[in-house]
Amino acid sequence: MNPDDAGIIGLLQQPAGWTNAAGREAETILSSRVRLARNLQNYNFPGRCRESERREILDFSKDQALKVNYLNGASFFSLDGITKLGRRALEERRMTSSGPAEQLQAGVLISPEQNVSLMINEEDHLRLQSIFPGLDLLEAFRVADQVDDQLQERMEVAFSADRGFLTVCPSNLGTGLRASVLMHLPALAMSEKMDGLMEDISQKGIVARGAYGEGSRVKANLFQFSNRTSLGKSELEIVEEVEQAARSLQSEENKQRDDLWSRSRPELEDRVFRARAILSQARVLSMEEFLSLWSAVRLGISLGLVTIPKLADLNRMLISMQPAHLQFACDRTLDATQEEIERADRVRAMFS
Amino acid sequence: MLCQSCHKKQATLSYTEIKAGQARHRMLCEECALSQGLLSPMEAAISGLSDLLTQLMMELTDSGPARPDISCSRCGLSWSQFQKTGRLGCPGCYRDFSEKLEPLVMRIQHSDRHLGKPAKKAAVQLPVAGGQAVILKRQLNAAVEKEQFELAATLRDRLKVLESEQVRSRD
Ligand SMILES: [Zn+2]
Ligand SMILES: [Zn+2]
Repeated sequence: MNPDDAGIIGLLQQPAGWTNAAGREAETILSSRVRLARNLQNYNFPGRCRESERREILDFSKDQALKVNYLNGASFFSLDGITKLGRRALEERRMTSSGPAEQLQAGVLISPEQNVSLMINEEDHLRLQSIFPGLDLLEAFRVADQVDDQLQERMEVAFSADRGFLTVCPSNLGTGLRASVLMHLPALAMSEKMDGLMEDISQKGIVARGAYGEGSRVKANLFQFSNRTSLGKSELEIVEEVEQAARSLQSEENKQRDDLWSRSRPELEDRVFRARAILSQARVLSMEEFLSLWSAVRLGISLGLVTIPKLADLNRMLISMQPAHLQFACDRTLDATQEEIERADRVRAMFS
Repeated sequence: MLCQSCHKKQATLSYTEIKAGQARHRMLCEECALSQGLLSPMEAAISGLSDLLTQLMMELTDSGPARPDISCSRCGLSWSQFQKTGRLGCPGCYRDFSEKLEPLVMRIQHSDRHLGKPAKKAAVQLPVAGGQAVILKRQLNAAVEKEQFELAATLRDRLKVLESEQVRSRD
């Protein structure tokens, strides 16, 4: 493995905190995430800074952030110091976003429990993220808010009384807050209700998107729901709206699951057991096939049809079976075929 | 390839139409597919079409050029550059572009007033942008005064490097 990535190995060996499946409502809601965008008053935004200024911002913000709660003891990764593969692994963990990767002097701090991270010099100077398992947006917000308060005692951020926190893109203006939940909705996705529900929540100011897969092809029935606007509401109002949308989708999903169970149990069982059979026997497994079978098995776990692996193990596989994670785990470069063989081997092991 | 309907955006979806027994393949962008009823609301929702950034970019394309073009007095970003990227250059942009930004923010955010938490007063002394250049200039003046010409030459070189970086980041 490239020595530049040496620091990452330890991080990847620990499970990401949000995969615990310990939170409430873990069967349909995988994680709750809050992100706050902030910028330093005295500097141009990262895209319009000199490199030397970005260096100053990076060093200064990092030093200050290491002194605040949750981030003391954090690991630091310089995004231009690690390889492309290393950056990809951090994205797979949902610790960084796939922002402007070539931008120099960017980095990320990740807390020891991997539930709080601070990206420096991505689109905004600072992007603070807090992520918790299950439906726990309030806790995610409480933590992010506390870290934000402490950061602001140490640096003057760009703020105007009318417009709130000033961000690079006006779509994040005001609170700079994006609250989102990652949901597994296999039963709803099969039903005709989905279109209507998506229209409803869109009218309530909630944005939906596929968590995996590009464009309009959603994989693994994993959806991400977040607030559309960030201005004109308090942080708690925004958090509350997203949480309510998540709760109503969850109850619809549960209704749909009950309905499927009572109306077409044999077909449902067939689907789950076939998926489990393939995952426990396959010798070559693409990410795409893995994701779709993963979804059926996960549904099977919550219906009590499958007991091994556990929900948390399945959540973790969502990260550990991705390309960059696989390459780090076997400590060598894999071509496409080798990657699919490696994935099949590791998935099989989880089912025995 | 480009969308075969608007010929402007990148095509991301392929469709097969059957008309009078003839199959016809078309490549479309998501907006066109949506407007022609080829995408369901769910597909449109999850393709990210409903997010604020997408809407901002559409609003910006429609908002027309500023004549004459205006620039931010602090970072030099012009309104036409902002129209292309949707990204502002510095906190000062919000002040200098306020007239053009106001209706835009109102349309996408449905509000122009911050009701969230206020900023805290920072207790720590902060670095100032360009701090390094200021310090270098001060050192350079001192070196010249003390007739330390070798040191002065080194400092002048470092200043030049800093300033050339500045030029590069402005274009
Ligand atoms: Zn088009
Ligand atoms: Zn500016």
